[in-house]
Amino acid sequence: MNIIEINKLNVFYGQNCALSDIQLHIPDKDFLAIIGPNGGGKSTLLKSMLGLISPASGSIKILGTIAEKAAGNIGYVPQYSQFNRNFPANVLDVVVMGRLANNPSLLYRYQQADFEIALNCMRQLEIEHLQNQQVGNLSGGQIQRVLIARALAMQPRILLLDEPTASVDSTSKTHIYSLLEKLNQELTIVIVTHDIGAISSYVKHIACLNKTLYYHGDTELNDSLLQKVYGCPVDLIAHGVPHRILRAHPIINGQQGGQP
Amino acid sequence: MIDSIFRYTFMQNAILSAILASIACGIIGTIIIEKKLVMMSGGIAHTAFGGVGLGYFLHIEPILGALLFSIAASVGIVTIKRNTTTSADILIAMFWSVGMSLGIIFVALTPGYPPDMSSYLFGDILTVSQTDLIVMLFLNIVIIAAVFLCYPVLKSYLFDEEFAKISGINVRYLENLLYVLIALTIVIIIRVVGIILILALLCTPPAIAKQYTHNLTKIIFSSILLGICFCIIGLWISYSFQLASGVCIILFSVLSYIVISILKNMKMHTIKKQSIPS
Repeated sequence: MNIIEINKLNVFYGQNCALSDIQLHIPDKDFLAIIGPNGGGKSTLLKSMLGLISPASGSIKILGTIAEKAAGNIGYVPQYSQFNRNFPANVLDVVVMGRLANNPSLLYRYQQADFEIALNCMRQLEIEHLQNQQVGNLSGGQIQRVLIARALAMQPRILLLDEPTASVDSTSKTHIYSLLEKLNQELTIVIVTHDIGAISSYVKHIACLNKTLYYHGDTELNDSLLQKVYGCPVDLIAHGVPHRILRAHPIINGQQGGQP
Repeated sequence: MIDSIFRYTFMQNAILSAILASIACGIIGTIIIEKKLVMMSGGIAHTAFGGVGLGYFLHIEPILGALLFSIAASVGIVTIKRNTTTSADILIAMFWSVGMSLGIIFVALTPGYPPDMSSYLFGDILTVSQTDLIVMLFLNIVIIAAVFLCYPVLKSYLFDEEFAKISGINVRYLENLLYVLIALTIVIIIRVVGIILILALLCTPPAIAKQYTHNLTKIIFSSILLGICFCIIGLWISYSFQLASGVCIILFSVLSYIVISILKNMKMHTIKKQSIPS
């Protein structure tokens, strides 16, 4: 069964095409890494799946319904820099916010059960001891775990992560990846990342995205494919080397949207 | 000042209005600081001046005109912002200036001797009327009820709007509600410190409270208390030295902020020094 079905998706920002003709079917309990250069539309694709961006054409079906109606079934871990870090809230306050997804009424008040679920998620991520810490005082790796815990508190079917390891050290990175691998037994996970080398040993499938989908399939990547997507040679072995490649390159027919 | 509080109704009204204004200020001031809507609030406040002018022109209570204009401005700004690519900054600037201009035109068109607008521009807490107090009380009840009922959702929205959206919360409703609450708060404060001085009374108490706690609820409550202190001490200064009340309240609040910040900084400095072994 496919839990996410994206057909002929086109997304524009004004006149600029951000995503073109995306065809992506993600099976239940998949662990998919979306890789590609900066500005290649990775975050845009995630936001389209979340219903935050409406596509120009094409369709996105999540759990058999349109993306906007699937709200609450998708846990989302945003990029680290996208929220108000100085907001006066402690870790438990933030994690329990995930519970609103199951009760999205404006008048909702948290129940005892909500705090228990939130604490449970924090235990899974080993951040229970941080519950009274102010979010602004946490390290990059700790914040990332808080955000993952908040997403898990939604009790979602799907977990989308936008560069969860961009600002964390390598120990935390490994920890986050192996945790995701564990969560994958229950959840479908889609992760956007630059960390090509490290991720391939954890995920089940890889999709290469630069405006359009160049490859979707097993994790055995080769240099020539990556070179095509990034437009220049990419070091597969080195961990954490930033691949800041902005050069555009022509779309190559026949390489798009291959099914696994 | 103490015995004049018991002797004169205008003093009792002044104290009551200081308390009512501080409650609204503490709640909404904290929210606008977190959501970075301070300049937006300034824009709404200045647009309300048009409403004050309209009030004189139509011979209705100017504060009701201000209420009408500030709600129209807040709904107008948010609607135009959503439907166009114009940035909020530009819209705020336009509403700000247009509101002030309309105010002047309405006053000019009002037949007879021109009314004194300075009590609306700079506030005059000693002229707060019974009607003003009733309006302030009613608006305060609306603000307290709305914020209390939506508190958990509001907090999530203030922290991370995008996440609130994907949780299925109707962020649009919440945003509209918040803007209307800002408009109501402005109407409450206009009589106390005036349109031009509103921003300082909104921002200063939470800015001080934020230095001492990382708990949103505590910031709100301490801002309310600080606001009450600032208003009453400011009133006392103005009473003792025969100066305009709004100006005294604002200058005293900002001065307190400066002194508290410097003291806090010095304390941090000594703590840092002590922690480095010599």
